[in-house]
Amino acid sequence: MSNNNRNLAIGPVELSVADGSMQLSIGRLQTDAKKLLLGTSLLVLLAAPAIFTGYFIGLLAVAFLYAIFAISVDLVWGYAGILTFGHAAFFGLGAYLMGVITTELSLPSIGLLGLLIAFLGPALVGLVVAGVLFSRGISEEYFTIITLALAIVASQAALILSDITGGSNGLTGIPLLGIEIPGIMTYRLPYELFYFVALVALVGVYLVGKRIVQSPFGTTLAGINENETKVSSLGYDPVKYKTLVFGLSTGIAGFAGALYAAYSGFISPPLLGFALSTEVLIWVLVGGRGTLIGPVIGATALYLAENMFSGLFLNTWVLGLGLLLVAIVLVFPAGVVGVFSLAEQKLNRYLEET
Amino acid sequence: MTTAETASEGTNTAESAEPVLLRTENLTRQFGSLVAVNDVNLSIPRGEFHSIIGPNGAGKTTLFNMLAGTLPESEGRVVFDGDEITGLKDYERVQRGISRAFQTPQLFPGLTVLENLRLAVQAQNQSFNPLKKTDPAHERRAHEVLEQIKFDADPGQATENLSHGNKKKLELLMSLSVDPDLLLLDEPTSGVSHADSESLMEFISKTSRERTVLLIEHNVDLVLEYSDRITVLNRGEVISQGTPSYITDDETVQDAYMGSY
Amino acid sequence: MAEIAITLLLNALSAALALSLVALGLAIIFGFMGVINLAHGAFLTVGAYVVWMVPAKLGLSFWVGLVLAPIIVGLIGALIERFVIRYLYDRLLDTILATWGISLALVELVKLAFGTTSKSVSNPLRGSVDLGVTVYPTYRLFLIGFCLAILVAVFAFFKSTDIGVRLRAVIQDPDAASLQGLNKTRMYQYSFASGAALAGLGGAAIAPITTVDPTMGVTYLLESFFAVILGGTGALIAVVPGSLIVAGSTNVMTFIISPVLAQTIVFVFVIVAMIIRPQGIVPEAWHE
Repeated sequence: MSNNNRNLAIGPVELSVADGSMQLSIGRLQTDAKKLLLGTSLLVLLAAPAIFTGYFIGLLAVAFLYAIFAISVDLVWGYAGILTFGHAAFFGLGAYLMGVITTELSLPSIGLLGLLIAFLGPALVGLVVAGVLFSRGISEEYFTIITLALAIVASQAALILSDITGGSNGLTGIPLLGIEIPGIMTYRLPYELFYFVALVALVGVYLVGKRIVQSPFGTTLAGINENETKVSSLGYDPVKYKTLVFGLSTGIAGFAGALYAAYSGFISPPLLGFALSTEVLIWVLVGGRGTLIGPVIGATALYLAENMFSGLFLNTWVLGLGLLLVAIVLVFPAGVVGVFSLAEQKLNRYLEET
Repeated sequence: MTTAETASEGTNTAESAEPVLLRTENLTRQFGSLVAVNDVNLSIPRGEFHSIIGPNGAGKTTLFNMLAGTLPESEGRVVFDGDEITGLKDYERVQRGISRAFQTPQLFPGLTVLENLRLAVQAQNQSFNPLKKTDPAHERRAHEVLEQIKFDADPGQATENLSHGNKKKLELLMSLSVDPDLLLLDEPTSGVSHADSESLMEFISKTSRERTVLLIEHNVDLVLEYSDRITVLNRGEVISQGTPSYITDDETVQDAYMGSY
Repeated sequence: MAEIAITLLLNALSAALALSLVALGLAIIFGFMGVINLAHGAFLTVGAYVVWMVPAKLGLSFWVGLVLAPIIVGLIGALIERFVIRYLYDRLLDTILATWGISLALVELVKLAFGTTSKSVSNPLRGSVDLGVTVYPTYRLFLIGFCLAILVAVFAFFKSTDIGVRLRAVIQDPDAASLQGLNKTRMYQYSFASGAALAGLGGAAIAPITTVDPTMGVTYLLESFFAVILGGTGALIAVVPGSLIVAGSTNVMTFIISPVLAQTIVFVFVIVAMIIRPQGIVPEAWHE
């Protein structure tokens, strides 16, 4: 807790530290440096469709949906310490619920209702799975293996239940979001606007996530992550907390999956599987687990890089990803955000000393 | 048994409906062929400051683990406040009013001192609403709890960097924050400086006016000074029970201690 | 009818014993080190590729490949232990991530070197043997005998040698290593290398009767995890009944329903079994 006013000034721009947070002032305007950075990024993202090509904006929209998915994984893994290798099962379940509701049930009008069902369905499945496993006292490693199996079972189930899921051909022709009340109104979202829907969804989920981790419920999760025995000896039932956060997380994953289904219009069994389940872990790890912004950065950056540069690397992309995973676990478990906060600490110390 | 009963006549039990707060009947814990706690019968009246002493390996901490619910009872019963609690989980026992401070402080290393305390305070008022904001009253309560004791570290710092003495204090404060009827303290002064030990015991003695305290302590002088009654364990069995003066005169106790030291 | 039944049983038996080898490797790594090795499937893949490469690229016999596969994969395991796993012993969940990273990298290296198309390893023991009730492929009979021999050898090591008996104590109680006077570092390195070698050997042994491709390991990874968990981690021998149930029942069911459905049913069954009996199906008495 330092109250000194050391600062770093370049012309009218001044960087200072007060009460541990970094303040940036330009002339007489003063603001929190981190908030400013977030705000600026948001403005750039809002203006992006006017600047970049449609192809890039399309990639970015999908990246945002994966970022929501990554946040859902971070809530259980980064905050509650539950490692899941099968979260794509819930992302995919959301996508399939959305797909089946809007195509097979020929009710394209309930696109928005689909989003709700795609949240509730996976949330319910997540609650049941986690509730049963945790209350049976399954150890954390076993839980991880079971989630891994779950993803494989889910993608196989999507193959087998071909009457509903279209089998290996998947489901096509899933419409974009819309609202239709027969005889009163019909609204179809224009394709170009979906980018903003994805952006708003991401910001919304991020803010909800922030609220969750700062709530008393979130503090209890942090306690469980650090010392489950102690949490229990204070009078909390860790099983209830872990179950609830898992259900929340799987619901959010399903929500992201539903948006993905609506946007891409096509879904197939790999969406539920093992590969996507592990890819999202890499995004979270690279960005920095236990920070909500980390998974957003990790998912967006790696998804964009994969789609833009994997042509250059040909088959070496996944090789690089695997090696990156090992390197991060070994050398820098805190990820990109960890690197930044380390740099921030150094800068703070420098500012305090000069 | 008879010694325990005669000794308790001298203690002044609280004017509650249920004079005996904690009762164990034939409480036993086995690890394979080893009997760590053997057939222990305790009867702790409400409001008593009761100490458990005994040489290393006497089964004191194992007894605590069973009372707190972190270790299942092999045999026997535990009755708390008139209700049988045998087999209940640790958090269920906390909700009924049994709280425990570990010998090795069990803190949340990445959370701050105040966050640690807030977690303890909030346990009395749990919310499963993930969107609920932190109650400012809980923050205030955490501050108040900390002010009860001389704590010479920044309350905003992560607990992993605290000194051992401060960790022990925080462990004690957290166990108190859940407002228990029965406080199980496992060597609260071990590894703490002499001066701090005295003030900690003074503090514990003060809080024990409102609650029942069961204390494991190595420092026999402190035990004799503060306890209403003492139970002596050796090799998992109760070898003596009574007031401090009774215990000091008991030859079996002296033999047990002589044998082990 | 009896002919079909016997053939079916022998198929199930050979699949189950081959899985036992792979699962035993996994159980050794988990039992001695507490490490969940997600690279186990990739180890198996590499073993299968070695046995494909030795005749196809070097012109040597299949049997040379069968000997080389566990050695090469064992060496890879030793290197991985030395340079990665060793730094993660106190971070159990992180070993899951690191071994998954290694798995991704190994599989991609295989793809880069040999492409994604499947390879076929020519059968070194063509023809069949007349067993009276049924005529059965020679190689599969060899596979049954070979796997049994390896399993017996491994269990004899743990049962009869001094070091084996001390190691068994570690499986039952991980903290016992120091009591048993074992050098932990060396024990870890040997465990990981020999666990990997068993996966490589398993991959090599099944190569002639399966399709060899870069992603073949994933199914075996999961099946061997299930075999270990289903059997219970308290005793190494538990992988045998575990494998018999996992691979055996999948194999038998495949006669009636599609392989994918059979596998799914078995996976769901194992998950349910884990919930009902987390300590495994093997009775406590086996742990001695």
